[in-house]
Amino acid sequence: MRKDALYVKINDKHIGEVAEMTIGHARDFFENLELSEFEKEVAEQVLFEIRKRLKYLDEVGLSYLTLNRLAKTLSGGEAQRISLANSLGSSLIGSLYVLDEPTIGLHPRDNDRLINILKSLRDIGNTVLVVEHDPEMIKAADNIIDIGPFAGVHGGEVVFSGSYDNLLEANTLTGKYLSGRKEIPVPEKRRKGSGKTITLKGAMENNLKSLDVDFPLEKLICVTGVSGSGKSTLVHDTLYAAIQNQMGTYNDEIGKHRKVTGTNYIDSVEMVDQSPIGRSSRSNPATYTKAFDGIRDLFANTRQSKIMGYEPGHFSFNVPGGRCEACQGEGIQKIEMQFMADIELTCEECGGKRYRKDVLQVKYRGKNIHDVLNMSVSEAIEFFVDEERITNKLQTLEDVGLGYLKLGQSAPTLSGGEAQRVKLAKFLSKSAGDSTLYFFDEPTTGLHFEDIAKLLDSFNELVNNGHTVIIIEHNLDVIKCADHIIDIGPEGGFAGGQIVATGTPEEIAEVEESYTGQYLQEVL
Amino acid sequence: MSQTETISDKDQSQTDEDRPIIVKGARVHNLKDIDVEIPRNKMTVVTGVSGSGKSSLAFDTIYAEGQRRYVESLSSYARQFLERMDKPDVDFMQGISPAMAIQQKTTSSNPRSTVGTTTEIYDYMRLLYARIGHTISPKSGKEVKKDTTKTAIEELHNQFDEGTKFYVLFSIPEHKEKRLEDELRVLKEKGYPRLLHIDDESILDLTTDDVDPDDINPKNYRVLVDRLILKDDDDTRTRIAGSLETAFQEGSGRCSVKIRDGKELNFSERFERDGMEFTEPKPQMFSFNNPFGACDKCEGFGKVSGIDEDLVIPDPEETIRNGAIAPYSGEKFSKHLRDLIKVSARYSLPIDTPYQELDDEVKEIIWEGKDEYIGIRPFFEEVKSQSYKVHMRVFYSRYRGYSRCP
Repeated sequence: MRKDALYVKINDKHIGEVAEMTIGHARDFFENLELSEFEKEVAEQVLFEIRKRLKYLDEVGLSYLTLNRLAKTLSGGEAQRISLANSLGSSLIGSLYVLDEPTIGLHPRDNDRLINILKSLRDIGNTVLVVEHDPEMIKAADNIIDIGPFAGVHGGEVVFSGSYDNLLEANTLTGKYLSGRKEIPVPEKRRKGSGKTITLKGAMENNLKSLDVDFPLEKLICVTGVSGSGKSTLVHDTLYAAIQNQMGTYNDEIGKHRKVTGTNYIDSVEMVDQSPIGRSSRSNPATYTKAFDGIRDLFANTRQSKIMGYEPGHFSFNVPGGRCEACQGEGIQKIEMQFMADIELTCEECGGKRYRKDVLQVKYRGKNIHDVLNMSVSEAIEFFVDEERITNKLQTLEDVGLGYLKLGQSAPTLSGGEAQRVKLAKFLSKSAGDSTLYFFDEPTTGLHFEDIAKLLDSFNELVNNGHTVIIIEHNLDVIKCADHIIDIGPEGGFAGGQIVATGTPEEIAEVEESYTGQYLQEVL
Repeated sequence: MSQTETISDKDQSQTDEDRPIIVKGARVHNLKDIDVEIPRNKMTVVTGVSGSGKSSLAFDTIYAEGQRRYVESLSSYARQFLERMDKPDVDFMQGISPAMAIQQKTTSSNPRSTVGTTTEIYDYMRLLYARIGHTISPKSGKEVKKDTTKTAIEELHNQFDEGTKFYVLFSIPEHKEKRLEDELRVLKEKGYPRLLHIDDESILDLTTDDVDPDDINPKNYRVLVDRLILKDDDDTRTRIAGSLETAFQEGSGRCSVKIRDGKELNFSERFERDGMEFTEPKPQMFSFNNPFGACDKCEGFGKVSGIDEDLVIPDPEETIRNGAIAPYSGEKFSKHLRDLIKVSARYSLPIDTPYQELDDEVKEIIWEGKDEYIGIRPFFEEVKSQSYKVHMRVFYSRYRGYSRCP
């Protein structure tokens, strides 16, 4: 900002100072402006717009963001809530709003506010359609449509449609969980851990107030706190970056801290986030978990292959040999249309089957390689039942709740949550032995109760194998199952960055100042 | 088909308010020919295990159709710029409103986009600052204002009683290529032959008095436009206004009023105060995306790249001797640390005190160097100058960071 622009002030503040305010502070500032009669008249319209927007942003739970916060550094949930606030501001009526899991990344405390906003959107005359798993949101809905009963080919049917009260009676997975007929049990015992800890001292990046934090090893650790309290800054930017740095793996920026000790107790760190597992359309769950290697060997060992002289390589769609050369094994051809969007056509040569005709003649138990790629993970496990090498790898995918994925589904079409679980599956299939520290950032994003239960099983397996898992999480079902909780807060933004409480879920529930504790009390 | 017709007939009779959104025979992705009814003006939640087809219903069917129908309604010219949308695999859909999807996407990866700009708050703030912002001079802390004849007259009435005698003046124009003699001649020709001495109020008449231009110090003289007495009646007001206007015009935007035997008041039609000229606030001026408003150094980005102090001194609780200065800890550059210790011994600098407790003077030496010790900043300059070597470039990049634009 140039200098003379900063000489211009309103109520003693120049525009740069106002831009540095959080939405909450800016709201106060604009509400309490002292203006002369003349200025009031000039500014009335403009102020009305500013106040309205700030009010909505505040209401969607973003009061901790500063106005000059870069848009690209916002989380997906924050960006979604900003566009929600924008739509509220536009006050259109008679429209249909379709929202994709708006509660993701929100602490339970902020959920209520969000629900109120959606209700006000409805009350001004709009139809609101929300894709959501959150029990509070489901409870608040006027009408619920439950799709199921299971995933993928076993789903796609309307299993329930009606009011919340009727859903509680309904015999669907959602109904059972909501009514408490089925639930994720609170573990009876908390693991003791190995007694060793990794200690982070003097963390002071962003809003962190020089924190000293212990992360006990061989435990399931949950880092909780309201949005913007500094969870990610502590775990992601500081702890993970610092450990990586100590291990000598390159990392660009490390959050400010004094030191980290105890890293000698672990052998490696892994961040399992929601970034895609690969931009390449040639990567898929089967290749990523290496199950495809076994499948190719299996096909190469059939009698038919031996007669034709096919090697495992002929069954790969990534190297020349067996693949269809017209589309290079992609099954589709991309035609670039200059200034228009690219057009994807099914490959004429192979009809989308990715392989040469003669390779497709090779059959294993009546299915060719293309048929196998079209199987879901669950189907493949049944199909390859005797081949442990393959089923072991696929079973991990099934365990993390991805049984419905097709083996050949290309990586870019996986959702963030799916990609994260494919990664998790890969780590689960790795042989145990070394002690690894795993980081998860909101792994339950986009998961149904049933899927969360499966995911928790996977976490427990990791911890029981001598690893340590650190999860940033809002989901109470996960929090209550943790061995150790680190609650950051108390509020978001500048009013956060402190440790409110640490300990087992039972201990946290006793702490009055902890929002997480208050919610835990209800579920324990 | 007959079934669909009966539904639409029935719905025609209902009012818009309670006509639900009806989807029949949806087969998008894994959906199995499902029928759904979504009540209007109500909140509906779609739930189910992941992968069961929730998004296929909400986004790929209902939203996609709403979007498609909206696009269809546009002119073919507008449509060519939009992606062609396929009709979702549905038998029948009715009562779709214009649809808006609010998804979990970071909408832009533009480094300049901020919360303020995406919500348009910043645009309104710029407008607000341009319209009602007060420009405050950084020197006196007083507001910068533009004077007009009207405000000048008001000012006079505010400060002085009726009957006060005063002169309306403007400074002797100074042009680069013109000598004072020529300036005075032009003034004479224009009809302003009288000059007023600012201190003793003596008047020089260029037409009658014999004036030697060399004797005139233009700083001490003003050109006299009019001599007036302050009164609050229409005639005087018009006369004062007329004189002030002439003075503003001749004095290229500036004029002054000298009270007889009193002080001189300066007025300016330009936007200035304390000898500084300011730019009048305009909305563009407050935009960091506009070259008119952006800071020259960082081009409005707010950050400049350079050496990051926190990376150089990773642990401010360490002492110099124990290696608080990270770049010197390697074998190659430990020479500088030894130099620093030598220099410290000479000036008895406390190298066993934690860095954060050091005085600013000592820090200054550490950063800028003294005697044979090079200093951290010059050291990095040297490293930078050798950045054609890969290891130097890598070394430099380890300590590079973005710091706030000054």
